[in-house]
Amino acid sequence: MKIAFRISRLSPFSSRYSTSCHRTLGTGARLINIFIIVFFLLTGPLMATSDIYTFQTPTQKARFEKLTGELRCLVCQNETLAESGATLASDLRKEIHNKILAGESDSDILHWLVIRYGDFILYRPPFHAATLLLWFGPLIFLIIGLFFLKTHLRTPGRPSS
Amino acid sequence: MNKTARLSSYGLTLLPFAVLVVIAMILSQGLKQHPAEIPSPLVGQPAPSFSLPVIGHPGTQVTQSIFQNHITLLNIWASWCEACHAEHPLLMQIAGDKRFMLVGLNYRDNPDTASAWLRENGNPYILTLSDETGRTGIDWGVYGTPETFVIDKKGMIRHRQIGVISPQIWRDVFEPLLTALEKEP
Repeated sequence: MKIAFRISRLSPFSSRYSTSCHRTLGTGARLINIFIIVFFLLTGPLMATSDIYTFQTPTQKARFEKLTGELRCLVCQNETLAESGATLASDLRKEIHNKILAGESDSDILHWLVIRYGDFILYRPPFHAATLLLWFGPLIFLIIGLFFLKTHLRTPGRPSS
Repeated sequence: MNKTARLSSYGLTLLPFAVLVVIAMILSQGLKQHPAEIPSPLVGQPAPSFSLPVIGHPGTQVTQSIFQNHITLLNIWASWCEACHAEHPLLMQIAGDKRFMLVGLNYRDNPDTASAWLRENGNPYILTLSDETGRTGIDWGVYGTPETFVIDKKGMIRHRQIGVISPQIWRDVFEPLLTALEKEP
């Protein structure tokens, strides 16, 4: 067991320090952690492998993978169409495959799906009036928060007025 | 600190809590929603076109023209769908209702299996369309069974119900809707 000492400020704005000691990982444990992390990163994007699709060009294949990776499976709603084993996902993958081969554009295909299933099938919410709050909400909250921080922060050593 | 300053400093202390309460109220409303039940973009649109055979009547083809001039309830079901079996008794009950036609859409099923199931358990439908490939289901935005569409006298979709129609849902959702749709020309 290795022990490390740490000396740190109590808060970013404070001039007071604390000292603490804590257990830390030895080299062996660190290597195992790195291995585990790299292993999971390498397992790569999940794909439902039961159906095989052939394409005429690599671009078509890339479009298929991109589209099915960005569309929600409505049956298993936390999976993409690429990953999901649901029958509907398989049916929709087949539709998308046929449409790509028929020469339809990405926006045509997405439009076709949204007419039937609504915006929820898209993982990227579209940008129009109804979704403005969704897109800008976090930024607005951040600005409000920063404003409050700026006006109510005390500089160290000075009592609040 | 004078009185005004003290009050405003209390106000400022309470402001984060007030914001928290407002956010909590919004989120608790969110808890009451059913996000898995997605609204159909087809509500308010004409019924998507199709041409499908009728179970039990080989050689027939029926199109969306059957929705004209009367209210229709289109029930999407399958013989393999457990939840549809749960809904079946209510469908048998409402089958005789003169206000609408109850039409079945047999989704991704074997027509013979479906036919046998209806024979054994009772057939509430005036007719059942056979969508073996599920392509018509996709055109209607079907993503699970059972689903029930309410179509008005002009062939426009007015409502989509996701999941089993319980007696409560029938009473609270369908009855008022049927009353309103009946009044329409």
